Amino acid sequence: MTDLSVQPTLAQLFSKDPNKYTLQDRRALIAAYRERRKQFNLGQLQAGSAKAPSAKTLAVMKEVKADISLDL
Amino acid sequence: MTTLINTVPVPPEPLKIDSHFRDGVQFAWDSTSLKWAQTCQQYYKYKMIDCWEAPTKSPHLLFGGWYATALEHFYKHRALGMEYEEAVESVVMEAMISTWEYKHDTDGAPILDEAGNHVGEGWKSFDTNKTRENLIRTIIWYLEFFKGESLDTVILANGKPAVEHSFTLAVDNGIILSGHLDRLVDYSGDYYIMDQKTTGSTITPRFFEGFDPDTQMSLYSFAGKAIFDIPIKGVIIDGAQIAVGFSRFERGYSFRTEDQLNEWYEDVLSDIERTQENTRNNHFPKNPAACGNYGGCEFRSICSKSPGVRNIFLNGAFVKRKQWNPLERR
Repeated sequence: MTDLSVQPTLAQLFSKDPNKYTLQDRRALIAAYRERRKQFNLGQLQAGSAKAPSAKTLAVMKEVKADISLDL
Repeated sequence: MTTLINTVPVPPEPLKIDSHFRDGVQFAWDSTSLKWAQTCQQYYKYKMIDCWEAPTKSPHLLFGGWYATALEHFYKHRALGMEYEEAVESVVMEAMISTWEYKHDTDGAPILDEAGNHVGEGWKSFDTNKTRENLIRTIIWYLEFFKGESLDTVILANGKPAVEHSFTLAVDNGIILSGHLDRLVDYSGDYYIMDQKTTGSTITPRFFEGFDPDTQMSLYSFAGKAIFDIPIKGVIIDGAQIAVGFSRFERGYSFRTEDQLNEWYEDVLSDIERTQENTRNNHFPKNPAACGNYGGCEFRSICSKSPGVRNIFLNGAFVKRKQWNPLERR
C-alpha cells in the first residue's frame, strides 16, 4: 500500500534531478498520477493538476485509497 | 497484448542519401515540408529555403514529440517482452530525463550547487496545458486508458516489432518520399499505422474528420503499404485532449482507399513539381487564403510589410536555424 503521508509531493518530484531518482521516487510519481486519474474518473475535473490537491480532494483521495491496493 | 510472429515482410533500410536538395531544388520530401509547400509557397520559402524560425521552440511540437516517443518506446518494450510496469516506468523516466535541462555557464561549463551536483531544472513551457507535469500525466493516463486494448503490434518476419520505422521511398521524377512510422498494428485482421495527436480542445468526431484529407495520414498509408508490402487500411489516431486538470483520450480512424491514395499521389507530385519550378525561378507566390489558418500564420506580420523592408522585420522577430532535413532519421 502507498502511504500518502510519507510520499514526496509531485512538486518535490518534479524539481528533483530525474537522473537521481530512487526506485521509490519513480513509483511514487506513477502512483500519484494513477491515484489522480481515479479522482478524475470520479468527477474531480482538476484532479490531474500538478498543483497540490485541495483539502476537499485530499479527503476524497483518502477515502478512495482505502478501497485500492497499490502493489508497491 | 499478443505478439505472434507475422508474415509481414521486413521493410528495406532507408536509402543513404547525403542531401535532400539537388541542383538547388528539394527532391526528398516528408509530410512536414509537403504541408509547408501545400499551405503557401511563400511560407515554404521562409521555412525551408530561408530556414526562419520563431526564437522559442513551439511547446506544442516539443510536447508532441516527447509524448509520441514515450508511447512508441512503450510499445516496442512490450512487443519485445518487457513487463507492463517496467515498460511504464521506463518510458516515464525517459520523458522525465528528456525534459530535464542542466545549467551551464557562458563558457559551457556545468553550474554546480554547494554539494557539487550539476544544477538543472525541468522544461519550462509558456503554454499552460502543454507542460512537463501534464506530459508525464498524459503518458501515464494514456497507458492506463488503453491498457486492455485489442490492438496488436505487428511482429515482422524477422521477429522484430514493427515500430520506429524511418522510410525513404523512391517514386517518380527522381522524387523521394520520406518519413517515420511509429507503429504498425493489426486490428481485427486489418493493418493500420498508429499515430498520436494532442490538442487543447475537446475531442469530437470533427477532430478526426480533420485528418481526411490530410497529407501526413495519406503519406503514412501510402508509405506503409509500399514498405511493408501489405494492404494498409488507414491510420488509427489516438487523440489526447490536454487540459490543466486532466488528459482525456479518444480513438479515431482515418481510412484510405487505393483510389484515394492514387489521387493523393498524383496531387503530391504536382505540388512538388510546382514548388521545384518556383524554387528554380525564385518566385514563391503567397496564398492569402491560408494567412488566417490555425490562429494566423506566424509570418503574417512579415508578409503584410512592404517587400523592401521584410528582411529587417524577419531579422528582428525570427532566427535562422539548421535547415529542416526530411531525410534525418529519428
